[in-house]
Amino acid sequence: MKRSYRLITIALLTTFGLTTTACKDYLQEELVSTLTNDYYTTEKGLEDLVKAAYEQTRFKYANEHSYAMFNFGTDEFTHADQVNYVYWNTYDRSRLNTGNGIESFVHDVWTADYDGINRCNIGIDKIPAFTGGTTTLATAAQKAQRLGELHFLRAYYYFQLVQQYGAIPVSLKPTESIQLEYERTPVPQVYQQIIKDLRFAEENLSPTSAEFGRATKGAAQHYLAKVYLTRGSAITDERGQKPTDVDSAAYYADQVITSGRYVLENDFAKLWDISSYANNRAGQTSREVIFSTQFNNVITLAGRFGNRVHSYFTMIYEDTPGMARDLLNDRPFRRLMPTNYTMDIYDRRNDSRFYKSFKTVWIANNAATIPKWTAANAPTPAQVGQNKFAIGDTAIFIQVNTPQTTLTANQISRTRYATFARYFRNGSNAVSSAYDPTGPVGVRNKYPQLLKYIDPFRAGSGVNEEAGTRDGILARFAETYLIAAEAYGRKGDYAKAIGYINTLRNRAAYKAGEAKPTAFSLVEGGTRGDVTSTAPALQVTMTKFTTNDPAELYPPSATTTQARFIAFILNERTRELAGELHRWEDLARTETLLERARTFNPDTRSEIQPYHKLRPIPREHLERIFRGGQSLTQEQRQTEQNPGY
Amino acid sequence: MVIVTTKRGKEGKFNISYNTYGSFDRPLRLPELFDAAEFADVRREAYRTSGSYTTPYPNPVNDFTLFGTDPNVWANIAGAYTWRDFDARIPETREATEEEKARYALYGFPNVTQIPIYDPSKIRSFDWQDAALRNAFTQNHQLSASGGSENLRASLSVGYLNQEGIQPGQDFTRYTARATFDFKVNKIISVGGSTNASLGIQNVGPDIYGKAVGQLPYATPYNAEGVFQTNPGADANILNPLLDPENTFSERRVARFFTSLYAEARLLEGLRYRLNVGPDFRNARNGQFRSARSTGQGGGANAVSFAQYDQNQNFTYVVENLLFYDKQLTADHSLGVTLLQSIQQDRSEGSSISATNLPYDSQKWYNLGSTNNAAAQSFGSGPFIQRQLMSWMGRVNYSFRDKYVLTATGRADGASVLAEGRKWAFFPSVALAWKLQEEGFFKDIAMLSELKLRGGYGSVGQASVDPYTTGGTLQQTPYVWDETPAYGYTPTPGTLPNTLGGLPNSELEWERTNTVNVGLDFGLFKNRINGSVEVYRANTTGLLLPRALPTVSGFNNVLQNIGATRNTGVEATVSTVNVETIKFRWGSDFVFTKNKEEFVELASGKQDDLGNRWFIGEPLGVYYDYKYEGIWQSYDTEGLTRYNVRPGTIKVVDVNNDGQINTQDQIVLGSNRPKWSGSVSNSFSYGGFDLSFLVYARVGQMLATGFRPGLGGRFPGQKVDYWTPANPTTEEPRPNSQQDIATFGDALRYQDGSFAKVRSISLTYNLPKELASKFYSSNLSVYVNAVNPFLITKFKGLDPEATDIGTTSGELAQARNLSTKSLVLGLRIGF
Repeated sequence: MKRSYRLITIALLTTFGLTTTACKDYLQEELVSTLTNDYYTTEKGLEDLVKAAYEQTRFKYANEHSYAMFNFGTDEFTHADQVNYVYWNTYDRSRLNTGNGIESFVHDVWTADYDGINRCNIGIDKIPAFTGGTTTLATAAQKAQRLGELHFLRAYYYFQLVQQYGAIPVSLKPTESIQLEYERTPVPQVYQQIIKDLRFAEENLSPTSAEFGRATKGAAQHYLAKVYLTRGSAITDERGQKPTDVDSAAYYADQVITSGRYVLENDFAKLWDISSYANNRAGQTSREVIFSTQFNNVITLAGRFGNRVHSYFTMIYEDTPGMARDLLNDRPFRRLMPTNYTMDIYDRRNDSRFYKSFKTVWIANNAATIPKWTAANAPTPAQVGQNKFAIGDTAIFIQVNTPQTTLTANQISRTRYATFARYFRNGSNAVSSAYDPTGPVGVRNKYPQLLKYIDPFRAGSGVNEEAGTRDGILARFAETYLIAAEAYGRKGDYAKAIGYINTLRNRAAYKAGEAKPTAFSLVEGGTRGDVTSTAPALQVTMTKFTTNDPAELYPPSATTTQARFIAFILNERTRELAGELHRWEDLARTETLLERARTFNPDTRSEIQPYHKLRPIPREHLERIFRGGQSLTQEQRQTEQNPGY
Repeated sequence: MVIVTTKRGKEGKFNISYNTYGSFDRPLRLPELFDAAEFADVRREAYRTSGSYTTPYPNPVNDFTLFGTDPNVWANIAGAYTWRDFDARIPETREATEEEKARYALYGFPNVTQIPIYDPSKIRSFDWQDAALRNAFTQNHQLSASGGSENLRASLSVGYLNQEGIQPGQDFTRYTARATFDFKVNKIISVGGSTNASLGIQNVGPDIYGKAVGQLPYATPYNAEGVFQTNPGADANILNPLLDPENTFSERRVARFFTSLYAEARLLEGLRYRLNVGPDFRNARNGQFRSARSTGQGGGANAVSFAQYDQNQNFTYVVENLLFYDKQLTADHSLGVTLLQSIQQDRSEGSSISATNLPYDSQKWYNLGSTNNAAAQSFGSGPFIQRQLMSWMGRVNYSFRDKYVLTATGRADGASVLAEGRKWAFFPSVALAWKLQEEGFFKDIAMLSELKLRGGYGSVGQASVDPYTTGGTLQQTPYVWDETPAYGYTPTPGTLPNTLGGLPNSELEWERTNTVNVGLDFGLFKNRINGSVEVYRANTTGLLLPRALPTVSGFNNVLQNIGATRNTGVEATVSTVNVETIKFRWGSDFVFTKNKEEFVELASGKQDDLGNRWFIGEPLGVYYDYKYEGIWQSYDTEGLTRYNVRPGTIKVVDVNNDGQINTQDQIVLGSNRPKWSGSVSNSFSYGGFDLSFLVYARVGQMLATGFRPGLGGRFPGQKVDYWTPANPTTEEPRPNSQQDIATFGDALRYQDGSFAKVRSISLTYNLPKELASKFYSSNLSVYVNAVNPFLITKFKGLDPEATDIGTTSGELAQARNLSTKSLVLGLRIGF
């Protein structure tokens, strides 16, 4: 009995004693697999922060806002037969103004950019004071390089924000506690800040980097040229534009052009080469690429969706005989099809960029569904019952013909492959269209498909893998030429502008000896086997701007040499950059969005209003911010919102 | 911690009992969907609205565009026409009736004379819902033995449950084993404990029902030759799910070993010491497999398989030291004192790996290394999570003449997950009870058998916070330099679904609820009628909620002690014995609860927090949206012009009447909190028969349907009365192929979710002892129970009780679960 007492006493004392003394320690959190802000006091941590600051440049390619907010609602593309985010193309007031189903895009892009900005702000705040570095942040030059990258990225994010939303809060300090009070900074000050950051970057960044994808001096110069041009393009908008802006744009563009670091690919198609992963990679790391957001084919490095843009331009093909869904041909999301403007703005016969930007041929990959000749359509009776084609032959051909080359029903039925013609006569001899961007949505599932994002290198879950592997090209040397040309043209130096344009034109032409696509002879009126250069036919002269050249489809307001020049540059930007997600910003920048969307985009025509040059400020932002310690009232939120929304 | 003391061994007697039941389960409720002919009309109307269906009546040329891609579907639709030339798609026609002419005129076709002969009744519908459901059977067996001697008592039990889901591919199996013992070592010391081992295997399955309701009713899963159709109806996004039960697996396997042990010593007269120790080990494994033929992998010739293996280990322990002191001080005064000290730790870790393109299907997730890709799709371990709690508690019970009872408690709780310097908080409480029936002035009232007035005030804390949130967590970011991995680390922005931002919060502290309550317990007529009524008000301060932040900060949200809520309510229960004779007894139980939950303070004081959908005076979880007002009608020319809308579209309330609908017109529509709920149960016994039934009602809550409003003509949905030029209803808008979801379609989703349910009707027969003994048993009963036999509600959709509540701050309850109703047959026998 006594022993029991003793045991109990010991047990009591030990348990009470242990727990009491260990009381404080017991409730301490031990960080094991979790990192906290303390990591940024180390050299490795800051280095990792800089890498993280790049990540949000991927966001432009990560989801459906890619085309919806950067290419829809313009002259270049309209919606195909899937209508998921069609209101970004139609500017449907009942969606855009009501937060009804769209709020996520407006807020997602906003959030991603500011997230990137906060990452930059942390580094810009911490790196200068950091001491004791031994590897990557040991010298002043190394720190200046990283700071240059962060200033470049911060400018990139703010530039995207200001173009989409106009006046926006500018935050230059890292967020370390709950922040609720944000005021919109007027657009001119935002541009000043962007230019300040880019100039810092331009002065501090090294011209090259061993790590492909890091910002370089050339990237900063390209963006400086673009930002100055954007500011200087303003007519009625108040961006703080200065008369010297176009000079600055020309200056920085020239810096890039004369640096010797960047070279146009000889063949435009090399940029989008999918013949092998190595060739694809070569296109992405071409010396034509100045800055791109980085992806590759390792699924664990893809982030949420990788570069997902590959899906959106894809037309439906698997319903056609001889075809099955596969990795190369991709999932037919069919969000965008080219407008008539885009199909017609190219000199499709001489300008190789049309057929090097758009896929019009699908190759049979499904033996089970290859069709057979019938008595009605067989060229010879002997062929009746035979397969029309074999695996590896053409199964689908999209004919980009003209009213003058309208096909007959008979011509279509006699092709071995399925022909989808832009103009053909149907059974009752009326002119009809197999794909028509002005027609009902139901006939918009076959069309020339933008090929710049085609990505058969998606790893992982096979044919339905969404994570694309291609880098998102944000700045390409050809665009630098276009910026330079536009800047000189805006200054009135058309000769210099034409010189730059023709550099691109010479690259765009079929070279002497170069094989031309089948469509050259089949559709475009060329001669089969012709391997002469088309460069002479593509040369631009001053008459392009002094006359109303019908090939340029100049919109009604382009009645002066200068106005035609600007319209021409926008056309040339389509020809060179179609689908590269610059278009909405280009039209908003040049204040041509309203006219060009109304003129060339049949779906945008009825609803677009002048105020659509800006996106709505995200309602989440307006609902979450405070002013003087209080939420905004309904009136304050409306005042804080962009006009029209 | 409470040690469960039921079902433990009893002294002296050895018992064996066996309980079993079988249950036949069916869906409680299914929505009515469009049939084939009806949905064909929806589709036509949708394309009419967008301009590509050219006639106000069915015509084969447009029909072929809409239905012709799948030859089986076309055969079905074409069967409704009478054909002049099938290949050229020329139908026989007839004269339109006057009624039809009038109807077509409303579509803007005043001169229709001849129309195709079309008989919708010839179109066959396939019942996909039915094909995706089954009559399920559940069985449960429980065998237990118990017994003991003066100093040692023990019990053992084993159990087996096998439950089929009403959807093929879903089931749940559980094995349990339990042992208890209580050992009186000597007069001072006793020890005991229980161990529970269980293995649960749940196949979550492929959810083929969810996919089946999205199938086209005019399409069939197999064609006429019996060949399985991957894309019935030839829509790339509508995949046939009926083979998924053999091709899609999601199995959660949880092994748990849970022990609670105690030792108790009587130290002095009235003084006891008790030690409780409770280790709990859990191992959960999730295996997922989708074969190349599963809909989840997209189907098609080039799809590949997918497998994932996740495992998570969790270890929790609790140690409690307790001291009890009970003393009858004098005849009038008695005192009880309890002291508690406890610690608790919860720790988990895990790993996950997935792979695609596996060489053979039978391996499921058991051989991921065999992938043809020669690499994992994804892999990882963690997160490592550990949290600790520590408590000190003292309680005093004092009673005077057993009439006045006072309980005072003080406890200090510490939580590792809270901020430095704010981990500890003190929570006092006090309760008083006055047994009125002991007072002289009540003693003479004969009908009164019990009357107790009680009241109290108490404070409790809550710290359900994920570990490591106070310090500002970082998140890894993927990136590459060309082909070289370039992982970085960023403050967690909290933008991914269900993640919290990593903004440091050095002020995170306990959420505290102070409750004041007054209750009255009563018993009348020798407790033939007894019950209690309680009113309470609970004020919660320092409410722990994820708060949405302006993302300009780089953070989407933060967990914060934000604001205060108040719950005020009443709970009443009454039990009556209505009839009681030797052979017959009828008893009733009534339960009524009413609670009002409301925010009383938010981040900026008494101001609504719109950004988080928190409103002063409203509960958490409101529906904030546009208010449905009807359908725009063509005669309302003024409204159509003012709002620039077309007839047949959804009309919502222009709250500020400014002529445009924008976010300023969204309002609080209601919440999913009921106005009141209650139940009535009755039980009758006669001889060996017991009959009981229970009715439960929840009234006054709003609920969103879980179905997407689908009148785009592409994806089928619930059958509704939709607007057409000839049918100017106000129920639902005109189908429109240009809109996957109608503009303001969400406004249609909010409904009154009130319901009453008969929860069960149960009949039990207890065999008389003499009859039972013929089976060598001491007791034997059989029962039949109808579970959820009836549901009474105006709610359109699935079970309004089975709701999902989102986990984000903008929670939105939706009825999207299939509930079951069951017929249970059971047997209880003891030896």
